[in-house]
Amino acid sequence: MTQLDIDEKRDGDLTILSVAGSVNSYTYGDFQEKLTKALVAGHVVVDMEKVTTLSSAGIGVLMAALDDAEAEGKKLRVLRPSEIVRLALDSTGFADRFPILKNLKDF
Amino acid sequence: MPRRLRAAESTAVLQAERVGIFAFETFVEGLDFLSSGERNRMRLAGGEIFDNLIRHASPLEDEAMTVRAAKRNGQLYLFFFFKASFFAAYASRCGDFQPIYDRGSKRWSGMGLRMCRNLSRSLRMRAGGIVDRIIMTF
Repeated sequence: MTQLDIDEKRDGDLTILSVAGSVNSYTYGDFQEKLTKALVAGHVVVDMEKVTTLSSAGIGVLMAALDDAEAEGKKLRVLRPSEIVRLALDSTGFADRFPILKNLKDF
Repeated sequence: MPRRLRAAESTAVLQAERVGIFAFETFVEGLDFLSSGERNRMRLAGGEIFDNLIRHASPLEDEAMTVRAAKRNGQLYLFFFFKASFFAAYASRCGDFQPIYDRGSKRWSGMGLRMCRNLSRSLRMRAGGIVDRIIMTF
């Protein structure tokens, strides 16, 4: 079974969530919980280089978090999305809504 | 005369529960006749179909579904075979359904279906007969 691992690092008011594995209909709740908690603390970068699947439920979590971040004047960025993450975002037709970083130093 | 390409296919029976999504992902991962791009498309689109069947068409007879991936003459197929009480009703709602965002629950409805359509060449749902089926081509 492919698990979802989310590693959390803090740097001032920035939280970096490194996500590895499958963000699917079974695991998206964990992703939602960690992302929501991180946003309460400040800005968030979600490193998705090691994500092997991103389902519509996971995309919904990201979109809702983006709305919340914008409403609260915080920044949420997607870092190094894997090939399948890019494909998933493109397939929604809303890919341009997701601010993407190639490097953390671009934040 | 065109050369006939060799067919390749693989079949698995999946548990019709949310946790069965991992078995689907493992199934797709093990298909050695897919390119990386094909694997990604099948994994994303098939995962959405699996999830929709569990959430909107359950209960499934025998609490299981059969999934088959096949490549025939260069065309890639993904089939889901099952017998579900509410599949006909679900399929009838899927026609030209557009995603809707519910700000209260912060959830999208219909986003998975949109992804399926954009990731595949065709998506057909057939309810009734000996088995219900969903057929995707890529």
